[in-house]
Amino acid sequence: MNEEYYPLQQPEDIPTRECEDAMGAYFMMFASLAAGLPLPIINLIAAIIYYHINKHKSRFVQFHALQSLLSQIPVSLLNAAAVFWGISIFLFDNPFSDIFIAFLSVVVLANLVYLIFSIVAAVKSRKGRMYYFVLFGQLAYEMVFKIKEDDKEIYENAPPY
Amino acid sequence: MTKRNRIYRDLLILALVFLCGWLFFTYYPPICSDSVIEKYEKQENNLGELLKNSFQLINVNKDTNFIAKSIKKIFQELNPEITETYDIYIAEDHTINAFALPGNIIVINKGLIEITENPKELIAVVAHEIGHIEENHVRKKLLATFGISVIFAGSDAPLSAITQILTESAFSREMEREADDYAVEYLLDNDVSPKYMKDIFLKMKENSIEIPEFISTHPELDSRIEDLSDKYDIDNEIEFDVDWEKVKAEL
Repeated sequence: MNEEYYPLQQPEDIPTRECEDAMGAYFMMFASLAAGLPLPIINLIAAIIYYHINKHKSRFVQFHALQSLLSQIPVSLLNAAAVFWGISIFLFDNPFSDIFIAFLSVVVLANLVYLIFSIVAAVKSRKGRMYYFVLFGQLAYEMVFKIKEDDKEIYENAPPY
Repeated sequence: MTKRNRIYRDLLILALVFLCGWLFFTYYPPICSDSVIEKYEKQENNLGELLKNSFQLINVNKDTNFIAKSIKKIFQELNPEITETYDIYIAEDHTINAFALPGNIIVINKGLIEITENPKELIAVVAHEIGHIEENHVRKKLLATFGISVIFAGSDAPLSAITQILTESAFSREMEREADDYAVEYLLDNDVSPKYMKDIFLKMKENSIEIPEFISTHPELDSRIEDLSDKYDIDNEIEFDVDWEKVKAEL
């Protein structure tokens, strides 16, 4: 057993409700669609709220919520850049160039890749399995499962006298 | 490799993949930007044609009545490029107004022509509308109000709402000043004194007492009139051989 990290729960030990909560983390990317506004920040806000609501449930749920949140950040930033760049072209006379089309193409591809991996992660988490994204999986694991120094301290209550 | 190094490595790989993808699509774009612009402008022209159909118009370029032929002659003598680049129409409307529509369309109400004393004042108004077109104000106003869907088929905004925005609501103060500046340069380049722009603005203001809503749709008229000082003197100012009073009588 690794003394630096909390042990991982196995699929058979994870309640169905927690599996569903973990799966729900990956649906926050659709929040802006539900809101009806093409604002990428809404997805990020939804992911942040979902994480804070669910982080106290179990480390399994916390991990998936955090992985979803962390991976949502770069995608939201790219989407926001695309939206603002597009607005600047139409309203502020910035040139409509092949560089912008190339950026849009990469952003569309990034969203597609993110969508595919999120669906895979949602399916895996529903089965009680851990699934690690490139970079963000490792980050989320470190942040959730690593035993912090504060956690090692054992506090003992004592009487006033 | 330590965990931290692994994280930095993954971050670097993701950044590189993004940059390589961007570079690849810059040199091999899925759609050429020129074809997108061409399609966009075509859609804009289609929208302009649709909007134009909601007015009763005299086509200065094509109609053969006295008014159209006289005004066309004025613009041909001033600068033949005007009638080639812009579609100018006279509307059967006796309110004092002129406006630009998508697709290089300029509409002047009969009411505005009625208050002019000579063709150069009409030219000044047209130059101002050309300024709005060339500075992309019409496009920006439409996009800011309705979004990109207004240009393409399937827009949710009805044509009447679009028409009202383009004909009745004001451009921003900055846009009006930009159009004024453009018009002044345009008039000077074509040997017409900008003082005629001041003259027509003054007449518009005088007539606005009877048409108070004109003030709200043309902000800062006083300061714009003041900016058009009498300092512009033209040598060899162009003259037109047109009986302007007869043109006005025919309206």
